[in-house]
Amino acid sequence: MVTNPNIGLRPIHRRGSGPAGAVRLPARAQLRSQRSRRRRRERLSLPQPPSLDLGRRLGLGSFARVYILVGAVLAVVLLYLLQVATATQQSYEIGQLQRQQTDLLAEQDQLRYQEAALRSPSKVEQQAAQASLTRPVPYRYIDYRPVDLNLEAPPPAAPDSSPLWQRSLASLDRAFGGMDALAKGR
Amino acid sequence: MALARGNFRARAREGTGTARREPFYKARVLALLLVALVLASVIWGRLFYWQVVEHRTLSADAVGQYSARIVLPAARGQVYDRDRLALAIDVTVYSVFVSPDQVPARKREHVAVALSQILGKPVAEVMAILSSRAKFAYIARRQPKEIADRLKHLDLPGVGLEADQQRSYLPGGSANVSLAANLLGFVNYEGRGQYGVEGYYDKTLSGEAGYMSTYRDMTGREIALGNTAKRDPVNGQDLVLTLDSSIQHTAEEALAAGVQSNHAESGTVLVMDTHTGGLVAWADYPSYNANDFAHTPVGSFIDPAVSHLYEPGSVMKIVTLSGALENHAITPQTTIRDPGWIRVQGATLYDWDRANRGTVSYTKVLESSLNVGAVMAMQTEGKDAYYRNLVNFGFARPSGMDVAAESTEPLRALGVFRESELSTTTYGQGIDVNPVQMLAAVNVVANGGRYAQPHVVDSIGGRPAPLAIAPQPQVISPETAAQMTTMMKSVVQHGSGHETRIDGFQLDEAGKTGTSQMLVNGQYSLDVWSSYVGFMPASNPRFTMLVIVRKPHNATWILNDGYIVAAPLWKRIAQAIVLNWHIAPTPGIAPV
Repeated sequence: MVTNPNIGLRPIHRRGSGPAGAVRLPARAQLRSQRSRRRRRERLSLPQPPSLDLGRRLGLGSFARVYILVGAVLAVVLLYLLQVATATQQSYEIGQLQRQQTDLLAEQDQLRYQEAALRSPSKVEQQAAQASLTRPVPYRYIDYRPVDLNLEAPPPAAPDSSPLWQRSLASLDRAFGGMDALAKGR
Repeated sequence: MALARGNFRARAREGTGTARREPFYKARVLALLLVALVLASVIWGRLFYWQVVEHRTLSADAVGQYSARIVLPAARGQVYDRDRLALAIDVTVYSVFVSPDQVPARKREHVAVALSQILGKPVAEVMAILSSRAKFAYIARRQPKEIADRLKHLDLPGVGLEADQQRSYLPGGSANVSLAANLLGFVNYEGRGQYGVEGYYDKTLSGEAGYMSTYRDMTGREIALGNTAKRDPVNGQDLVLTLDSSIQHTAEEALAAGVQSNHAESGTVLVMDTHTGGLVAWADYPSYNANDFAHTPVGSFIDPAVSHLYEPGSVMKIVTLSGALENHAITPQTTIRDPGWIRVQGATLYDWDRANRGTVSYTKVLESSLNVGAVMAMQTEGKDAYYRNLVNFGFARPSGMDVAAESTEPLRALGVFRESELSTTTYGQGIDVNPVQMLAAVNVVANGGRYAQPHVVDSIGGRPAPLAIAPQPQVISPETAAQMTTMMKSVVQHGSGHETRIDGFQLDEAGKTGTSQMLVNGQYSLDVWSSYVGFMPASNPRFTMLVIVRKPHNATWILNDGYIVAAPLWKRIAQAIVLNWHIAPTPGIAPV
């Protein structure tokens, strides 16, 4: 029988399976193997990601796990693209608003100029001419003489223009203590 | 394996021909390798060229395609008058362009008709542009917003608008000019201030542009939320001038009418706030429309008020006699004998009418504008004192006015002057000054003997302008100023200033006429500068005004005199100022 020295004859056994059928190892080697197994056990006792546990519990195969991983990556990429697209869309909207703002500013400048032009002396003059308004005659200062004025003195009585009979009646009324009906309430 | 090796040796021993062909195979392999190497080298070479040698260029091209550096222009500061009326405002204008290759042939006529209707261009002209193979062509430049809005509304294919900023100025006091055009200057299409205040304060007004580096998409639209580097622009500062636009308008109107009615060549009016030195009005005629500077001859941009020199004539007697009064060489009552002429170093100098007036006082000298009296005052005072006086009144240096392109002629050294030349300067001939220098010198008398720095900008960005708060050196004593004011009042009441009397202020006005002959080819001609300078109310001056009319051409020579040509203009503008500023006569001085 041709033997290939590269092919081992050690029986295949699952990790962690019992010693039955296994190649017998020398005592020192056995001790080393026990130590490394203990270390591995200790390592396994570390908290594991729940997804792995979940995958194991759901009984998912390796391909399924790859699919899930690729799916997750794709979802992340899609989310990123969605976010970038939204940002780009919003930037276009911002651009449009900026253009609107520029237009409004231009209009504001235009209005400011129109306002100044309307207030300008030449426009005022033009409008005045259209409305047939003329310039006022420049001030004329007249001379005055200071007079003694008593502002406290009662005003001079105005001449009475009522008919004679009314005046006679009024004087009779004053003489006999009558009251002027019109004066009431004043 | 040993068997296989043995077989090969056996074959090698049997076939000597194969052994001979072995170098040939090797050569073929080598040749193939060489070819492969050459081909690979070519590819590697090209890769090296594009990726290493051209790396910088290609990177720059790529960056240029997806990124943009947008210049953020700074808003130019506005210019206001003293009442905060905007005199210069930036407005957005639009250039209309077409891309003929983007206009379908069947729509050309429609586009051409629409453009010609809105822009007022001949249809054939527009059609010619649209039919050309050009990629881009301007149809009209710098159109107002209304036109741009109409074009936007039509949404014509291949037609676009390019926004730009343009400085706009208010309409002025005469036809087709803008208000205070020579004083303000203008802003050219590159956004640079030219001439006047715009030129002098260009850096202050223009600010500093910013930039923004941003990404853009394949259509060139900016992606605002991309990574951007930005530096905000620093806007220009606003200027508040000392100018009163109402007075300015009146001055422009009056000057235009005065120059035309006297068949003169040009004229200038300057009104100064007596106590601050701020220019209230600054009118030149002829002037120009700063909104249409592109179609204006360059010569019109020059401002005669600061860039032209003139011989001031008898107005200078105010300075001469003030100096003599200050040095106690004369008093207003000092008398001299005036035969109408005087001989100085072999030259004979005459009074304007060569009349023998006998004995006259210095008040009369000023009233009747007698040259002989001015020369005698200088002789009494002494040349050194007279010269020092000229320097103190500001004739040896530029006025320092804050507008671009001031011209001055340096005052010659005293030793250079011949005595006859120095004598003629006492009555304003043989000395060149600019109008602002002359006004500032006369204003010394009005301002109680102090020199008020002439300026036109009152505040910059809300802070006082340096010239507006410049110290006012005492040139002559207040007493001398008061004496000279009285003499100038006498000019209005009894002398050549009678044409300027304003109702209510006849006794409270101070002034002086000036008429100086022009030097043409070394000879004095009959062409004159007619001028009048004065201030009012004399007891508490509010303004000092100088009116100059160049080359009036009336029927006779005497009708070109300052008191006939310039004085009525002075009166008309002064009346407007009295009304506008509500100036009332000083109690006790008003005429009875």
